[in-house]
Amino acid sequence: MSTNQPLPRIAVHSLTGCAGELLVILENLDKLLPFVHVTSFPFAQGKNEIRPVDITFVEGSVSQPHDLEKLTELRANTRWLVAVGNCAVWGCVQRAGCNHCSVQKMIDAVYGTNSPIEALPAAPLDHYVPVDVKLSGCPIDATQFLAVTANLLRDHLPYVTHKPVCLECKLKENGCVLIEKNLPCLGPVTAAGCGALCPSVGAACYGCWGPCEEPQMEAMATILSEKGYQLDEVLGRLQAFGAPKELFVRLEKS
Amino acid sequence: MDICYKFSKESFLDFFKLMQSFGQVHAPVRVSEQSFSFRPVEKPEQIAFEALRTILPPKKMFFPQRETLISYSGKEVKDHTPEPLAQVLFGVHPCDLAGLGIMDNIFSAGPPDSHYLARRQATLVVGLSCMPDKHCFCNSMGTDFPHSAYDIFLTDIGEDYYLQIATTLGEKLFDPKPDFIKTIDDQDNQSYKDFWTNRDKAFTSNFKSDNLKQIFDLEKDNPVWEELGKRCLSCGNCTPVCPTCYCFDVIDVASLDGNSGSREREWDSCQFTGFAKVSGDFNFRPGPVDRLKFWYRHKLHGFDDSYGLKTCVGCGRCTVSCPADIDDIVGVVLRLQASQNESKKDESA
Amino acid sequence: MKALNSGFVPIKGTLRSIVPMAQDNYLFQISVEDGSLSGCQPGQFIMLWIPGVGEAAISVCSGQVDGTLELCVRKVGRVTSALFQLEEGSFVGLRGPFGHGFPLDEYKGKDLCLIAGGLGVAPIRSLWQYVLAHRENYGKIILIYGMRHSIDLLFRQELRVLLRRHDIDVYIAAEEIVGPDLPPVPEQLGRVTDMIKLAPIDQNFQVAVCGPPVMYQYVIEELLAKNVRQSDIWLSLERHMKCGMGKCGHCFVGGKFACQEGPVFSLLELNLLPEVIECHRK
Repeated sequence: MSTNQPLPRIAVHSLTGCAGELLVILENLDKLLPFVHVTSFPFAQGKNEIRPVDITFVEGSVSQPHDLEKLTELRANTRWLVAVGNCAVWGCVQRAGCNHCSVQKMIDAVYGTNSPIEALPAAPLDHYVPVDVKLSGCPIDATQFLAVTANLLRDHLPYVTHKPVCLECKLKENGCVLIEKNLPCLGPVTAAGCGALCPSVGAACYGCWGPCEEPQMEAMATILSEKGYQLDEVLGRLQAFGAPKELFVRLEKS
Repeated sequence: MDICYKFSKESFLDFFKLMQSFGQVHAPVRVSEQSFSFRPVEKPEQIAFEALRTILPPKKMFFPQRETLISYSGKEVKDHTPEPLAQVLFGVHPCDLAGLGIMDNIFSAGPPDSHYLARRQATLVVGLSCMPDKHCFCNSMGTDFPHSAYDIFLTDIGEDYYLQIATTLGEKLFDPKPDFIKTIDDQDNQSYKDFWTNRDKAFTSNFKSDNLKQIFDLEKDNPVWEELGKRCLSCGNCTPVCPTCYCFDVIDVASLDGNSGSREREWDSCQFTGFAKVSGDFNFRPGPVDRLKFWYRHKLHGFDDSYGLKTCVGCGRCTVSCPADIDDIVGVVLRLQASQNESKKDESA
Repeated sequence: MKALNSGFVPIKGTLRSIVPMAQDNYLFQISVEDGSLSGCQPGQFIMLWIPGVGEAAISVCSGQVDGTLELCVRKVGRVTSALFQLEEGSFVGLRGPFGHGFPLDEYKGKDLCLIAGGLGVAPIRSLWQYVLAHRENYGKIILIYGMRHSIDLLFRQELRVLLRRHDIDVYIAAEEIVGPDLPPVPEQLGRVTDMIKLAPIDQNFQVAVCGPPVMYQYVIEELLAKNVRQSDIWLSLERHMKCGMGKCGHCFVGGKFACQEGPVFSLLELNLLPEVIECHRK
C-alpha cells in the first residue's frame, strides 16, 4: 500500500443486539487503526459521519423500524457489508422468540397495551439487504475477525467455513461431553469458531454460533431423545439461537 | 530380526531416564474419567500405563492438528518445515503402530511431506503391549502384533518387560548397554509367547476379514447404510480420532498489512458436506449416507490404488467416539456379512 | 539439517498478460522464474496461489510450456475472483505441474477426437495445440466444443483459424445463441452429444473429454453408441484439491487420488471406482 493513498474507510454499527461484537471490535481496534480510517463507530467515538465507506460491520438483528432504516442507509454507503455476530447472521434469541409468538403479543406483555413501541419480527440482515460476508459468533472470534478484515481490505473474499464445533473440540483433544457425561451438547450441529469453548470446560455446547453447514437436526434430535431428553426440550434448545425454521420442518412433522 | 533383552519393572525409572536422554518423552496421560492423551511427561508416575486408546492417535505428533506450512512477506516465501527435534513417543500399542506405518507410507509416498517426515524421523517410538477391551478388534484387521513403525517394543511379561529393539535408532539407546538391561533366557521367551497367546484369547469382538473387499462391493446398497446414515450427525468425530485419517484443509491467513501472512493446514473430515464439493456447487457425496459409506469403504475395503492397504487398524477409537453409535465397525461388518449369508441361503433355496 | 523442502513452497510467477475472452473468463499468461514448469503436459494442472487468499487447481491450457504458461480461468470462487483483480506484473505463486495428463503416447498414430464442454475447453486447447504442433504423429483429428450460451465461446480467434485448416474437423455448438454468433460452422445450435452424433467417429478413435461433471454420462453413452472402446475414452475429472500431492484427500475418487493418478483417467479405469461420474447439485 503506497503511503499517499488514503486509508480504507470502515464503519461499525449496531442494530438490536447486546453490543458484544462492538466490544470485540473495540478491543482489537488498536490492531486495525494503522490500516483503516474509522468513519463511524458510535459505540466508540463521538464524531460519526455516514458517508461512503469500504467496509461496514453491522451487529444485531433487525427488530425495529429504525433498525431497518439504518441498515438500508449503511448498505447504500458501503462496498462490503459484513454481518457480525449471531444476531446479524441468524437473528439470535430475538428471532427465536419471534418464531414462537406474535410480536404484538410480546409488546403487549412487556410494555402494556397501547404502548408507542414499534417492533418488527426480529430477522437477520440478509432478510432485508444483500450481505457480503457473514461472520457468526456470540460474540465473534477476534482472530477470525482480524483475518476476515485483512482479506476485505484487499478486496478478497474471506474463507469462512461452517464446520461443526466437534471438529474444534476433537482437535483440542477434549473428552466428549455428549458421550462421557450424556450432556445435551449441540456441538455436532453448531458452527465452529469459538474453539469449542463450552465443551472445553466440560459444559454442553448450546449452539450460540448458529447452525453449521447442513446441520443434521433430525439425527441430533434422535440422539438426544435416546439420552432421555424430551423432543420439545430438544427443539427449544436447537432453536434458541435463531436457527431458521426451514431446518426443522421434517423434525417438527415427526 | 529384533534384538531382545529384558528389564525389571522396578528399573522402569532407569529406562525412563534413558528415554529422556534421547529427548522429550511423550506418553499417554489421563485427561478425564474415561479419556487419555499423549502428552509430554517428566516422570514415570505421570504415565497412564492402563491407557488402551488415547482420544487422538499418535499421528498428531507428526501431523499436528494445525500447523504453518509456509509464510510470506511480499514475494519472499519462507518454508516452515520443522527442524528435526529428537523426542520419544512412549506407550504405542500394536494397532497404533500399524496406523503409524500406514501414515508413514502415505506421507512419504509421491512428493513426500517434509513437515511430517522431519518430525517422524527424529522420533524414537517405543511400543507397549496391551490387553484388549470389548471395542478392540485389531486381531480382525491383522494389526494385533507389532510389525513395523517401532524402534523399541516392550511386552509385559509379569515382573519384567521383554524388550525388542528393531532399529539402529533403538540400538543407540542401549550403547553402551546399561546394567539394568538383562539378557533373556528360554523361560523369558516362553513368557513372551504365553503373553501373546493369552492376549489373543482375550478378544471378545471380532470378525473374519478375508472377505471384506467383496462384502463392501456386494453390500454397497445394503439398507444398513441408509439406517446408519439417518443417525449420522456429520460431526466428523470419527476422522480426527482415526490413526489413519490424514485429510486436511489448507487455509491462508492474511495479515492486516496486506503484504504478509501464512498458509496453514488443519485436519479436515470427509464427513463434512463441503469436503467433496466442486465448482458450480456439484457435490460428489452430498448426504450423510454417501459420506459415511465412503469412510467405511475407505477404512475396510481399502485403497484401490497403489498403496493396497486397508486403513482400519482395529483400535476402536471411532466406535467409542461416535455420539450416534454408528461407528460400531465390528457390528456393521457382522451385519453385512450376515446379509451375505442370507442371500446365499436364498439362492440355494 | 532438513531432509526435505516443503512441497508447499510455490514457484514465483509473474502475470504477463491478461486477455478477457468472454464474460468472467480471462486468459492469463504467466512467466515463471526458473523454468521449472517446462515439460508440463496437456491435461496436467498447477496449483495457482494468490497470497492471503489461497490456491486453486487450474488446468494448463497452453500446448507447450517453457518460460511461460497460459491459464484460462473463470471467475467462480474466492481465488479466481482475487486473480481477476490483479494487474500485469503482479506476483502469483505456482506449484506443479501435477498429475497425469492425456496419454500422448497412446494417441500416437491414431485418430483423435477432442471433446470440450464449457470451460472444459481449457485443457482440451492445450491438447489441440500440442497435437497440431506434432501433426504428423496423428491420424484424423476432430474437435467438438459445446457450451450453453454462444456468448461464452472461448478462444474465438484461435477457433476461426482452426476452422480454416483442413487437417482438423471442428464442430462448435451452443445450446442457445446469446450475443454474437459462433464462428461459421454448419450447426450452431445443439449440445455436445448432438455433435458427437454428427461427427464421423468410429472405433478407431482415441477420445479426450473435459467438461462439467454432469456432461460425462451423456457423452460416454454417445461414444459407446459409436463403438468407441472404453479403453479409448479419456476423461479429465474435476475435483476439489488442496495439496496436489496425494495427501489432503479432497480429490479422492474411489480409491485413487485424482491429483496424482488423474486428473485424466480412461473410462476402463473409472469403471472400477465408485462415485466417479455421479454427482448432485444443491
